Amino acid sequence: MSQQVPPPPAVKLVTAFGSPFAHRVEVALTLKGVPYELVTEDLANKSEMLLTHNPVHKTVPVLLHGDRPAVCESLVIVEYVDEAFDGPRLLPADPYGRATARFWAHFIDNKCLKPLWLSMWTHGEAQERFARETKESLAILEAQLEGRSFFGGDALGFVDVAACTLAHWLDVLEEVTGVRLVTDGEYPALRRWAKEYTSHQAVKRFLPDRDQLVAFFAAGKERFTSMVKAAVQQ
Amino acid sequence: MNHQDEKDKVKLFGIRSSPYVLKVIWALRIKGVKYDYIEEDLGNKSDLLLEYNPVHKKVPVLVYQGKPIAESEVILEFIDEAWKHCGDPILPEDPYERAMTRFWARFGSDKLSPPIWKWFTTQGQEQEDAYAAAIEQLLVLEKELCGKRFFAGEKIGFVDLSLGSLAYVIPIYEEITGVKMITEETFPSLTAWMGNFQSSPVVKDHLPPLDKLQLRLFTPAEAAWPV
Repeated sequence: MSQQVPPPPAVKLVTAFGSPFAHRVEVALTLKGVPYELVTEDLANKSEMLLTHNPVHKTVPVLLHGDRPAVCESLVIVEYVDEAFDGPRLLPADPYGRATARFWAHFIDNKCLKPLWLSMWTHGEAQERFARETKESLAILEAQLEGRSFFGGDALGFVDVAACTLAHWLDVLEEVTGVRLVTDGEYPALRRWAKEYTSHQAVKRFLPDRDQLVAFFAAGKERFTSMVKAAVQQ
Repeated sequence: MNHQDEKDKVKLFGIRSSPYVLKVIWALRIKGVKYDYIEEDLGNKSDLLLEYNPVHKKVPVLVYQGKPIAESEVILEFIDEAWKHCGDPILPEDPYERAMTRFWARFGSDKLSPPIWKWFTTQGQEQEDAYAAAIEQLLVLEKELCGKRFFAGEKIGFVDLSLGSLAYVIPIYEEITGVKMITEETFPSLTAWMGNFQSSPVVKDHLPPLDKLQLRLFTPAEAAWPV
C-alpha cells in the first residue's frame, strides 16, 4: 500500500535564534495546536525572503499562512493565531477581558520591555533613568499578578506570552551586562510566575538554551550598544 | 433614575485637543453610542481619572458599566466589540484583514509619528534627516492606501481613526515650518484621504478647535503632542 505523504503545514513561522518575539508566536501556535514549519533567519545576514515578506520592519517573527501575504509584528500575529484557528482562547471572550489583556500587553511592550532593553545597553544617567522606569513597571506587574499563577488567571494566555522576556531573557541579560534590575527578594510574584511560565509544557520546548542565549547576547554586546545609542539619540 | 440606564452609562474622560481622545470620540460616533464627556485639566487631574487610570494617569479613559478602559487603540477595539451590532464596524470580520488593520495602525505610531514629530521639533541636519525619514514612511502608506477612499475602504475604519490626526496636524506643521510634506503630486492618495477624512460625517464638526491648536503649538511649555 502506498504511503500518503502528508501535506506540508499550512503555516510557516520565520524566526531567529534568541528572539523572545518569535518565541511568543511559537507558544501561541502550540497552545492552539496549530502545526507549523519553522524557518530560521540569521538577522546579521537577512535573506531576500525575509526582506520581501517584511519590508517595513525587516525582522522576525513573520507568519505565512497559506498563500496570503505575511503577518508581521509578534502581538499582531498572536491575535491573528487566536482568531484564525480553533483551540483554547488566548484572549478572553468578553470585550472587557480582551481590553484588559490588550492593555497589559501594550504596557509590557512599551513601559517595561522598551526601557528594560535600553537599560541593558546604556550607561550613566540614561541607564539609571531606564532602569528606574523598568523597575517601576515591574512593580506594577507584580501587583497585577498577586495571588494568580498567570496574568490571565489559571491558564497561560495573551499577557503571559507577551511577558515572556521577563521569564527567561531578563536574567540572561542581567548576567551578560552586569545590570541588575531584580535584586534578591524583589518581585516574588513575578519570580513565581516566571517559574510557572518556563515550566509550562507549551513553553519549555521553545525556550532557547540558556548558555547559548548568554553567548548570543555576549557576542552581540557591541552591536546592541551601538544600535541603542543610535535609537536613544533619535 | 432607571437602574439599568445608570449601569449602561458611558463616560469619556478627555481633553478636547488630544488626538487620542478624538479617536475615541469618532469611534463612539461610528457606533452611535451616547456618552457623558468629562473634560480634564491635565495640570489638575480629577480623583476619578486617577482612580480609573492609575497606571498611566492619562486621557482618554472610557468607563462603561462602571469599568474603565485606557489606551486609545485598546478603547477603539473595545468599542467595536462591546457595540458589535450597532452602527458600522470599526475593524473587519476576517482574522487576516484584522491582522493587517492592526499592523497598519501600529505602523502609524511606530514608524510614522516619530520622524514627523522630530521634523517639527528639531533644526538643521537633524530636521532634514527626520523629514527624509518621514517621507520614506509616507510613501509606504501612500502605496498601502493606493487610491482607496479610506484605508478601510468606503467607510472610515480602525486605521483611518488611528492615523486621522495626521489629516489636520500635518497642514499645521507645514504652515509653521514653511515646508510642505504632503503634496498632491507626491501623495495623491493621501492628499485625497486627508480631505475625505476631515469632511466625513463622523469627523466633521468633531475636529479640535484649530485656533486653540495653533496657540498650543506655540506655547513652549506645552508644545504640541505627538501625532
